[in-house]
Amino acid sequence: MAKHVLDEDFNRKKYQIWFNSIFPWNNKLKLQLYEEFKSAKNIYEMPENKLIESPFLDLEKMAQIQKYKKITPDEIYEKLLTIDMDFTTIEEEDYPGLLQEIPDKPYCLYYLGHLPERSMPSVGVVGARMSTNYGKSIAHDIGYSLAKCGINVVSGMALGVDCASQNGALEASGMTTAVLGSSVDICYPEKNKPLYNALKKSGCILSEYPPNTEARPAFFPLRNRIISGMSSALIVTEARVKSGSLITANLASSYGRDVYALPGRITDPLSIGTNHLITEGALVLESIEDLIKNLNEKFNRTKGDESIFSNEVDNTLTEKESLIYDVIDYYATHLDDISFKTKIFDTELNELLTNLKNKGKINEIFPDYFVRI
Amino acid sequence: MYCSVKTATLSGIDSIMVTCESDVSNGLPNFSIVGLLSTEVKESRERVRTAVKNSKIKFPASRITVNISPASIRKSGTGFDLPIAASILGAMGQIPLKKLESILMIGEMNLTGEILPIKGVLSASIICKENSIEYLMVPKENQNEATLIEDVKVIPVGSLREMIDILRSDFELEHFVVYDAEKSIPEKIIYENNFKDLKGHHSLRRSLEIAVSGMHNLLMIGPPGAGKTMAASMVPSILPPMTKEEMIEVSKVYSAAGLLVNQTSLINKRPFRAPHHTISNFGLVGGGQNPVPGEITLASSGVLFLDELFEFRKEALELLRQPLENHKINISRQKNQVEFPADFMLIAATNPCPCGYYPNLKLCHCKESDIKRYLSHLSGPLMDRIDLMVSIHPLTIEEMTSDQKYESSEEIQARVLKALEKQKTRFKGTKIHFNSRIPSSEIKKYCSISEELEEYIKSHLSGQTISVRSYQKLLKISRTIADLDDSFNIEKKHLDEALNLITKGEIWQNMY
Repeated sequence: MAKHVLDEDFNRKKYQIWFNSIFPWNNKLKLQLYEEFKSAKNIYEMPENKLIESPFLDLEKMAQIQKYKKITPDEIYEKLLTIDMDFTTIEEEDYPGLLQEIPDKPYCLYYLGHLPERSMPSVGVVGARMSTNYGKSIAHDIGYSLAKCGINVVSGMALGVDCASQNGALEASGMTTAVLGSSVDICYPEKNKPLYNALKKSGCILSEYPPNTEARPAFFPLRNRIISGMSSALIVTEARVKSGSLITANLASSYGRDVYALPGRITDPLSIGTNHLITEGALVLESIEDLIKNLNEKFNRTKGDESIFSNEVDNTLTEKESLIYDVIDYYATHLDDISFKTKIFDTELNELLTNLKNKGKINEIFPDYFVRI
Repeated sequence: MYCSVKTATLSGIDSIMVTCESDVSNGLPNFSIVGLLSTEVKESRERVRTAVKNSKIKFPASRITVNISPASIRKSGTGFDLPIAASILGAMGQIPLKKLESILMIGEMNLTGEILPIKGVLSASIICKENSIEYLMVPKENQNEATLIEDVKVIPVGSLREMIDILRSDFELEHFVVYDAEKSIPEKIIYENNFKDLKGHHSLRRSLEIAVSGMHNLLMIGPPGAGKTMAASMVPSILPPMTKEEMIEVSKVYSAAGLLVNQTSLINKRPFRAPHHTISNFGLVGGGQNPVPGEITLASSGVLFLDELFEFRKEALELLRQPLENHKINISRQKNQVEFPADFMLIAATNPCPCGYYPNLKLCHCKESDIKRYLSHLSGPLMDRIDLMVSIHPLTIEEMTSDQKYESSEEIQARVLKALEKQKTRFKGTKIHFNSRIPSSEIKKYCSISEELEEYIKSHLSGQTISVRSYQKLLKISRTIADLDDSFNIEKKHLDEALNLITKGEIWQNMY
């Protein structure tokens, strides 16, 4: 089903998509030309002898424009609408406000779903793909709480932390935006298809790449600039020493955004990156309540559901169960370690572990390795 | 003149008695051998002719016809040289026919008339006993192997000349050796690897004990250097001692594979076969034009250990599916069809991911897609046939250097024997020996659980896809755990432990 667009919008936006299609890979040039000619429509209507006077255009680029003059803008836009995709550009009102501020903003953003309202604050949540259960569960809770407070959760739809935070936001029936390193019609990674479909329905999937573009390693750092550009604050849950999350964080601070990092143990390889961010001046994510409080102050709002943070003490465990529960960590703990510390073995240990699993207290993430939930 | 000599040919691991008959008559000089023969038997013509000549007997310039009957069975192997020579000499009147009647003979010859060792002497000895043939004439090197069977008088010969001399002597046959019980079944068996040397690894010890107690298959997952191979090599020491029937069965296999030549006794240690992962399909399951036993047959009654499971050819692993189910393998070739035993306990070991260190994220940087590709080596059907799974944690330095005494193999074996004793009583009068071998039709009878527990399983596994085989696996393992616990009924705690052991496969494959 084709997307419905008002005639008035159509007539204005068709020139933009036409302009964007001429140089799909040269964002810098598009920004420069836009700066000079003020709108895509002007460029379309400008006679060639005037255009050539621009310092940014040489003969080769002019030939490219001439080639595209033969295609009508209507054609390009209609084709896009038939695949249910829409777009926005820096000329439009609905272009994410904060993103307008960064110097290398993308001229055009393709999207599926609906764009976040301009008045809605956005916060980015990023972290390692291969992350611990702890990292994922915190990301999930952050996503949930932010969405509950009416904040748009921006992330990259990658495995691990990204996916956890966005799922959390969807669970809270809030707004969440995924910025992809491929075009929006390609679900990367394939594994996140359910999340992709959910976002299409009740969130937003964004990308600066034209339809049918596969993800490439070089696209991810560029994608990260959009995440940090869109967000007024960025939260990094877990990151290794060299990782994409740190690139995103550095970009965010260069754009003047708040960066929060989740502190971790110094021995944990997945916390080295975040701890390092803290030494470099990132804000410490002390608790989700604090985070929400800070953000609410920042956005001058009071909205928020505090009840989601109740940390009730569990009395449902028997003495032996809690003995075992105590030695199981948020990091993978092996069966032998548990029996070594508790001196409970074999049949009995297995029975207790099954009970804890059934009670939803622990999870077996890998054969014989357990973690707390 | 006509003469016939009894001999034997191998089919699978068993021998079949065949007769080698010769006729020497007047006519144009000719020497032909007939009777559905493979190349090595046909070549025998040249060997026999030269060997007879070199034993200082004139090879007759007559029409010689040799037939090895029944002609419907394909004959292969090199053991026919001696009986062919003997039957010709008998037909020539060089050795008394009367004496040949009570002898079955096998052996290969070289051109000087020396007798060389051959494969499958043990099973030849067995058919001598079954058919009440008094004497068995074998190559000297195969003497020990031949005397492992009671009531067979074995005449070892070193050369054709020696054979002629023995048979020509006026006396009754005296140069025989017989079975010696003491020599063939030594009492004390000492295994080199003992569980007392395995430090830590409590859950692995437990899993191996359960696996052995019911002959369940087991997969170990662990980082490099965690002790997987070491633990596997200790398994034979906790397996139950072999009965005499088992020893003969295993020895027969080794004899057929030509691995018993220098053995002075029956094989009394349970086999532990650890083929390298570059093994070919035939090498693993057996095969060839004249089928020879593969590693799974050589591991029969013992342990087949596949280290680095995922490095094996995928195809080779899939070939294990049928033997794991039926505990035997049928090999069909154009002219041959044989059945080899394959009643082994499979122990496999692998790393959790390509780099080997998952879930230690400090060391493991594997991508999800890499791990997935790695896991795809193990197909669902094969995974289904692996009963137990255990993952191994590398030892800490404290555990490595601690002086703590660990249980020895003897202590573990005592418990295993107790559990097996219970199974013996349970399966009395049936062909079943172990819990893992209970056929699906009898599961209800031997592994009955209360209705409450049935409900418990249902609630526990609701929403999960569980194959019929996995469900039966669960019951069988619970039965073994209950046996180890000396409990008549399967209780919840037994079921819980079994559940934990069998669901690991799913956890592993659905890690993400």
